Amino acid sequence: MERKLLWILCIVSIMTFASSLFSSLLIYFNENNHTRVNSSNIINTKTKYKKSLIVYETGKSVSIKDVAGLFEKDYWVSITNDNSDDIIYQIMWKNVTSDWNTTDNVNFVYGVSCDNGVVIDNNVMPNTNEEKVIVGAIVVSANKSVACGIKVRYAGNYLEQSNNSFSADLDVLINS
Amino acid sequence: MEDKNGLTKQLQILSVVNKNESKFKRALFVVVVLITLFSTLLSLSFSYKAYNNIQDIMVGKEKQTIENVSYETLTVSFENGSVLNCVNGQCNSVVVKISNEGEDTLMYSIGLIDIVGESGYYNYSVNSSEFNKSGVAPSNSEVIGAGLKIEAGQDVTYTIKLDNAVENPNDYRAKVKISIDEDNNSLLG
Repeated sequence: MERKLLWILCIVSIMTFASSLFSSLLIYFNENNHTRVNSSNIINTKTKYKKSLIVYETGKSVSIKDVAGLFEKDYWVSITNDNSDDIIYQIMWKNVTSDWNTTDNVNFVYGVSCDNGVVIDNNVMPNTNEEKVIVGAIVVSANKSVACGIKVRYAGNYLEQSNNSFSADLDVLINS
Repeated sequence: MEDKNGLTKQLQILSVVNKNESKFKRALFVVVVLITLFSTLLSLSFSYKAYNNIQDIMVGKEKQTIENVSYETLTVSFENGSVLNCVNGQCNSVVVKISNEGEDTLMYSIGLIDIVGESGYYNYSVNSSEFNKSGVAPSNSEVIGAGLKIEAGQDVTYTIKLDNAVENPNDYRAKVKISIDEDNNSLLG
């Protein structure tokens, strides 16, 4: 009787072993499969489209000639972020052509005022063929618009008619 | 005497058999215990792995998504401002250059907003190399060109102007607005 019981115990033990081995192998191969899929193959590729609308209300090209007196002129740019994330933009002077002399150019300045609070005062206009950042970071919240006014002016006391000319393009870029 | 010796031998043989059987039982018992213990450990070990795997799936490690970002930029440049203004029957026109600086085709709309004046005095017209439309200048915000398509890297220039529809019309003013269309819904306010 004792021997019979022992044999039954033995059979049960072997069955336990077999089922444990079977389930272990199932788990092992299942996991291996997941690992292979994750490592060597890309499961999902998603393209996120970040749409922006840049409106140069007064044109993209800026051309200023024959400045005289207490000159000032405004240029308007509006940026609309049509996305669910905030986007940082920057405004730049590009394709600059200027023949302003160094003495007068010190007083040839621009200021920026955006309706999201960004304010920049009296930055000297570029007078070499360089690209110059006007505003480095304008954060536009998701699905919002920001309008910026760029005022170019002569900040000296008074300028007699100058033959200086300045031309450039305003350019709004996505910073991140 | 011989019977006694025979019985003793038989008892000795029985004792050896009993001892062997008891050794076999003990060994079998040990084997059974070891197999059961090993099976349990194996099950526990893989169950732990399976648990971790499930945890990974739950926290999203399983779904490795590579996200590409495509920046789509529609640039709108008004050459002489964006306001259409008619005073004493004299109207200016708005010239606007639209450029798709992104990598994909974009849809956009042209509309008139911030209108000051009544409908009926002027007719509007929108002209480009690809799109022409005219109609009665509205008294409320209206889309005058919807679902317009522009390919990546292309640009198009529109001239939008107002013409008198009657003699001695009242003054009229409207702002031209360009909006990117999102899922067929114009964002025009």
